[in-house]
Parts: sequence; C-alpha cells; structure tokens
Amino acid sequence: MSFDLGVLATDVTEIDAFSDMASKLGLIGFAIVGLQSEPLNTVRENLQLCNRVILRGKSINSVRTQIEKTRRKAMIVSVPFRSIDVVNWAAEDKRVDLLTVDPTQDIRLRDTTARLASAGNTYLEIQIAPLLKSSGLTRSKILKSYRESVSTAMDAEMDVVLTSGAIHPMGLRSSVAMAHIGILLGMDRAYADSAIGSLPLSIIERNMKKLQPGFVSNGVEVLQKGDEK
Amino acid sequence: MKKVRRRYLLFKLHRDGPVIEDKQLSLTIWKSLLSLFGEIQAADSKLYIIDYNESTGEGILQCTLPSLQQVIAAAVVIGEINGTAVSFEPKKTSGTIKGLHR
Repeated sequence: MSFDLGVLATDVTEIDAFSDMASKLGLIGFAIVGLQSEPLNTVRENLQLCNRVILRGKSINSVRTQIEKTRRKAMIVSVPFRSIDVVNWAAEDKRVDLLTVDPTQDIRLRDTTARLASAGNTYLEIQIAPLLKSSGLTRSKILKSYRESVSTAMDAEMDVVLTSGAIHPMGLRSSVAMAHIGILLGMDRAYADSAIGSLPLSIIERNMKKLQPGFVSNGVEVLQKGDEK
Repeated sequence: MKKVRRRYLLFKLHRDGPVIEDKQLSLTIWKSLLSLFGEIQAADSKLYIIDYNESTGEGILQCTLPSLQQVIAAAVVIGEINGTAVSFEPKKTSGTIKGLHR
C-alpha cells in the first residue's frame, strides 16, 4: 500500500494515464502539482489524488507570501533545496511538509537543518526520477547526493519519503520497486517500506485534520461558534 | 565448488512503445547491474531470463540468492530500453519456479 506524493504531470489530460498506471502498480493514490482544485479527491475506486504545491521562491519573504496564499488549498506543500536560508526557514515552519533534495544543486542537507526539520515534523523528499533518466557517472553522483542526504536525515531522526517525481506514467514504480530503491539509498527494508507507505499517509492524515474548517492549531479546534446552539 | 542457492523472480515489464525482446531486456539489466555494483557482483549474480512474454511483459528471471536485492534494484532503476519508456515491476520471488505460480 503506497502513496506517491511526487507526480509532476504537466497537463490535466495526463491524469487518466497516471491513474491507469498507478492502479496497475497497486498505488492507493498520488499527489499532483497544480492540476486540480480540491486538496484531496477520489478519482476512482481505491485511488485518491491530492493537490501539491511546490514553493520555488528564492527568498524567505517570497516563500512566506506563497505559502500564505496556497496552504489552505493544497494537501502537500514542498520546498526544493535551492538556498540554505529558505531551506532552514522551511524546515522549522510547520506549514511545510517536504524538503525536496535537488541533485543538480550543490546545496546538501546539513545536520542542523535535519534536526530543525525533525523537530518541526518536516520530511525529506527523495525523488527517484533523476535516477531513472541517468546512467554511469551522472547516476553515481546523484546516488552520492541522495545517500548522503538520507544518511544525514536518518541520523537526525528526520523522516524520509520516497516519491517518483514522474513526468510520465512510466516514471511510476510499484511499492516493492520503490522499497528496493530505498535500500539502494541506504535505508533498511522496514524503513524503505514506511518511506513509501505509512509516512506519506501520515502526512496526508495530519493535513486532512489541518484543512478542516474548525481547525485552529494542534489540539485546538472550533466545535461550536458563539451564536450557534 | 559450493552450490549457490538460486532465486526466481516473477516480474512484469510495463512499457509505453514497441515490444521489447528478452535479449534487449536481459542486456539492459546486466548493464545496469554492472554500472551499479561492478563486474564481480554482476558476474556472481548469474542473472538469466528463463521465461518472458514479449506482448504482456511478464516473465521470470533467475539469479543467485545473495544477489537478488541487487538484481531487483538494478532492474527497477531502468527508465528506458532502446528509447522505449519502461517500468519494471517485481511481483514475487521464490526458491522454485513452481512456487512463483502458487
């Protein structure tokens, strides 16, 4: 039972093809960037689609402005590794769900950032798409970047989720395939299984509660308003 | 020579394009295994595709028990074969071919 939080389809017409492939591979759902309005939507039996937003701002101010506009509309909010300041801010901010490792950037996950993220319940996201597109030395460099990030995160007790990062339905992988990629990245089998199953589901469950109209903060909820009887 | 335990893997190769022959598939997995784990590990894997249905993409491959995880990892990171986008899905592993069909 796995949920892919990182499908990067560019067109609404591709959603059906992704849904078909996800059903064939036994996924129970996937998150898609900017192509649907509802935070969570059941597209067919046993398959859910959720909305994801990637905050690509270069400064903390621009990311903060973006997150204020989008948090209530999106099930998943992620920040890619572009600048240390933004990543450190995002690691602490409880509205951000994922920090996405970008193997093309020189910025690596620092131990301090991982500890901040661990305390703020922000997860590290590893997208497997760059591994599928590359080979030889390029793939080796990506593996180095990913393995270092996973190791740093696990040492700091920051949770890691594995996603496909697929722009094409063939970029999706079954839960068993993803677990084996997780092992390749230095996880043990049990952790790899949770990185594609229970951890993504826990993020969705947490955000479902937050997106409910009466939610104020963790443990605080509006049950009844003053003029209601 | 000490006998090495074998494992059989039932798989399905999803594809978006023309049919992929078993030789092409076998060669691509070998190359990926070689690239990821090196010549010694690739040689010790004794990887062999026993059965493969080109139209459905379902097949069985054989390898040694110690190399099973590496063979699966090498196969699932294959993104394309001869320009055709593919997704390798490991379905079941067993110590016997009969066990795969149970």
